[in-house]
Amino acid sequence: VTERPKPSREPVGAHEPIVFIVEDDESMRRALSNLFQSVGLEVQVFGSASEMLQGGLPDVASCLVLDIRLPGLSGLDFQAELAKANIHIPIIFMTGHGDIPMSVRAMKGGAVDFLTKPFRDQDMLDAVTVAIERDRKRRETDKIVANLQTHFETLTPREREILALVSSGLMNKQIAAELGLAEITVKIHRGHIMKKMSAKSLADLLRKAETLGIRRAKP
Amino acid sequence: MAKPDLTQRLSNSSTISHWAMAVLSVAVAVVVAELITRLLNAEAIASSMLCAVIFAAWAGGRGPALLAVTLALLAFHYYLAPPTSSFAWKPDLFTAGISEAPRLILFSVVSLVVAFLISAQRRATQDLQRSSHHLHAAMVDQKRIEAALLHSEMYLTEAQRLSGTGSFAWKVASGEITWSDQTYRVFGCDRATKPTVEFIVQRAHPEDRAAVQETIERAAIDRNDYDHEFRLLMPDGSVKHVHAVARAARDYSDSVEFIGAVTDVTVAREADRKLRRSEAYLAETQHLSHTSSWVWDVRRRKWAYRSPEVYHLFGFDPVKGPVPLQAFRDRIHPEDRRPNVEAASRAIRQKADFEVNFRIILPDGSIRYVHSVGHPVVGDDGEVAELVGTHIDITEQRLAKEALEKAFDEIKKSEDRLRLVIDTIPTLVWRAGPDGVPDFLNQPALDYTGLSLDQAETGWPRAFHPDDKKGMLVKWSAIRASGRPGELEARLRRFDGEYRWFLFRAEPLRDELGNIVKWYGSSTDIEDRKRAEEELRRSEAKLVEAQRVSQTGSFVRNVATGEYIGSKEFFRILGYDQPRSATFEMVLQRAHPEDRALVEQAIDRASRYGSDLDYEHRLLMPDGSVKYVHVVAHAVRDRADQLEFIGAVVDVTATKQAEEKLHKAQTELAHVTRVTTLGELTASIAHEVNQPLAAAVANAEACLRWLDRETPDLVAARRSVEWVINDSCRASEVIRRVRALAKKSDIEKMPLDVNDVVREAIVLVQRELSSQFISLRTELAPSLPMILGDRVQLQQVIINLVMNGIEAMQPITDRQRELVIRSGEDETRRVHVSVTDCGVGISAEIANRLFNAFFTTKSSGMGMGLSICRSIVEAHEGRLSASPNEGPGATFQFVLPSQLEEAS
Repeated sequence: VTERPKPSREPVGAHEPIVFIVEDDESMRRALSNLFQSVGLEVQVFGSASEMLQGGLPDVASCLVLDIRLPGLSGLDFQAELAKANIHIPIIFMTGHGDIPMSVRAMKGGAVDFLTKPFRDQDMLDAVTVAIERDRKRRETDKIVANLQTHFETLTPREREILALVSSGLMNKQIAAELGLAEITVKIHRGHIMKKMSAKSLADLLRKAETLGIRRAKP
Repeated sequence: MAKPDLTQRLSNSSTISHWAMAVLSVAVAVVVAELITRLLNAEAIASSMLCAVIFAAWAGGRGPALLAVTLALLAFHYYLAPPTSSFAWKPDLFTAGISEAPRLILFSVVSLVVAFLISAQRRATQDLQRSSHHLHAAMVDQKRIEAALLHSEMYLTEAQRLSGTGSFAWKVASGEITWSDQTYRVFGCDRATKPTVEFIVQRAHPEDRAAVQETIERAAIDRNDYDHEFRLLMPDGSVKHVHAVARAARDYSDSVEFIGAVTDVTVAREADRKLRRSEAYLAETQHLSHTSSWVWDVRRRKWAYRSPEVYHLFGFDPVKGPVPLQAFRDRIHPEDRRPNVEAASRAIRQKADFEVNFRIILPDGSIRYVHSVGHPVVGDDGEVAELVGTHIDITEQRLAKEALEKAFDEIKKSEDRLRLVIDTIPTLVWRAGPDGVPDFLNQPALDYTGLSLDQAETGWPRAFHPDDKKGMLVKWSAIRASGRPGELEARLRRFDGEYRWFLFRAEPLRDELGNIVKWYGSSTDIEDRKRAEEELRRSEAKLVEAQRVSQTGSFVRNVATGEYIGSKEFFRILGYDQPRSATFEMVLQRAHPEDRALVEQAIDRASRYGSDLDYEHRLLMPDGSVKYVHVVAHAVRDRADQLEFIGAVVDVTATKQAEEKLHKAQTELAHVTRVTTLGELTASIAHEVNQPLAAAVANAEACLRWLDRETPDLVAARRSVEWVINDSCRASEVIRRVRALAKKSDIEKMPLDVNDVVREAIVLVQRELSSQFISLRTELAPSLPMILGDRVQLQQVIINLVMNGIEAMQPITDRQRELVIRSGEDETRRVHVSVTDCGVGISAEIANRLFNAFFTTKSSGMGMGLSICRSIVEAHEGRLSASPNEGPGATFQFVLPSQLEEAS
């Protein structure tokens, strides 16, 4: 069930963050979406976890407001499921009467917040803001890594080999010795690498390599 | 014929001499002629020749005569024809006129004529001679035949006389009948009588007359041989049997003559008849006496004779031909075969008579008993040649004997039995003279009283109880005086001194004059009956007591009169002081004013339809107190076919009060349980309240924000406020429900949709379910009939069952926890609700204790839940049951009658 906000608001762009709500109680669902809409957030509400998964997630900054007690798959289990599926949406848990073990488990699973009903609206809005911000940042990082990955894909196997050796801090000479090449050849390769990875300096290259997690395959 | 043969032969032998004589006579004639010629010189040749021819013809007949003629001609030729004395052909003999020729011709003619004449004469003479000879022979024969005939006739006559056979001849054409002497004798008449067919027929026995007539007539027509036997009725009245045989002979004129014999066969017939009769007598005798005779040829080892009865005895049919010896043997009972043979052998050896009994088994399995007697017949050689004997069928005797023995046995037995009956019947039997003094007592009577018969005759009145003796004697005298059957009761002393009640019955036996000869009587022990009567009296007393104690009054109500006849207790319950009877108005007056209409209606209906009564109502007593009574009555028809009610009124006031107390206690308990359950549900309820509150708060906050906008969104704000109201209402609704459950209230039954009840109950347990990660499935049948029930109590039942299900699934980790609530209706329009879990299930050992109070499997439970549930459901006239599932878990189900059903 997707409730589109009816009141007059700024048109929703592709980059507008979305708040997903999974709550089995209809009135609660309605109240939450009302609240988020009142601060201009886009909302998508679902009665259960499976309903949400069926819809698929848009590629925008988003967060999930999740009731711990749900029919079928419980909130905590849903959290674990998402993690397993490599979906890194930030989660804010709600509960009627929370207990400590439950909140610990939720937080350990990477929850942004754990709110007990009835909660103060500000607490909920703050938590949502934090979560959306966190997601936006994660998305940016992901984008950079993806970009680097694209560059990295253009490298020849020899260049990748040399990049790995460079990132492990070896000198050109050492690399040449290691690979049985002339130093000049190594230098040419490095030049190509720098260009392909659009690195402004060696430090930049090393940072990018680190971001990509490139290491020397074998010591 | 010998003679003609001889003559023939003689004539044959003389033929040659005839020829010789002819030659000789010619020679003699030649010689004589020569001599004469020579001596006398006369020619005498012709005459001598003629003489020779005559002689030859006379002596030898025509042949020799011709020979003599020829020879004479030759001689003429020789002597007379020139040249004489030559036999050569003399050609001129006929040419020239020789004188000799006429002579010669004349001679020839004469000689030939003479020869023929003489030979003819000779033949005639010979014929004559021969016939004379024949005649003579014939005469001799005639004489001999006549003599023989004479003999034979004599013999015949004698033979006819001796054999009683007469002969007869009957010429059919002329009707002429010739009889022999014997025939006359046979027919019993003298020769003067002329035998005719009519006579024969008339003489025949009247019974045979027609047959005789017919036989004769047919013979006359058919002209065939006949042979018949018939009787003659002689003039003296005697009867003769005759046998007539006749042969048809035809004479030259083809007229038929019957030649026959009539034999008097009377003696033979008589003998034959006698033999047959005697044989028949014998056969009949043997048959009647079941006796058969036989002869055994010892030497040839075979039966020489067996009478037909032997065959019958052995079950064979003598008509069907001989039966092999072995077949006879096989019919003899195997056990008897050897003894038979041995007895026979012994008889032969010892030349003594023998007797033996044996059995014959017939093909149908029946057995014949045979007594066989044999006698050896000693032959010329001193050895036993034959055994002659009889078989006597003694089966019937034997069976009769057996039957007789059996009958004797039966009689003996039946006598014994009768004796046994008299001596063993548990009744004392006695007989008394007209004076009333017993002269016979059966064994039980003697045994009971311990008296001997002698003692009884004099001392019998002493055997009665002293208190009863006088009365008994008076009554007994009265019965005797009346001369009619009578009875009396009195106590009789037993041999051991104990007195028991007896019923004495006496019955008179009269002779043909109507005088009483004997009194026959029986005495029956009626002690038990007497005791039962006593018991009855006592039990009646007890009943009165029992009615008093149980506060049950019994009554009989006559519908026609409206009158009540009641027991003491009946009137006590109604608060009347022991009247004998009460009227309908009196009874109705006591009824509580509110119930009076009901009572009147019930009684009215029962009276009209004769149906049984069963109802409860209140009584309002004069002192203002209220009594509850339960009235049960059964409709019956009395002897006058009037409707009556026999019934009981039970004062159930105490019971009613107890019931009410119990009911109150149960309600209390149900309430306590409910509150306990609510306690258990606190968390769920809190959540249930919290949820709408949280929503209300969120909506309220949102409303503020919509209003706080630079351009307040009033529509959204308004909507938010509406939602706030909704949520708040919802919260208060939950609280209301919880309060209802917690409220201590009496049962309030109203029409309900059971599905609503289920849904409302689910609200309270929803959180509890989800907190236990149990998914709830509801399968509620749409449009169920309404039930009449208390909402709160039914919810309590459902909640309780759900909570039990939750608890049962707590240990389950290996499968999806699921609880199913179903509702539905059955074919009788009863509504059912079931709660199915997939938990640990119900083990057999706890299944029957499940609904007991204080039975629990929970560490914290009171054990009242299911017990209360059951009493609630039963208060709704329903039924609560538990059953294990096919798979894991259990199903609890309750069934409630629909409102429609209840109304009907």
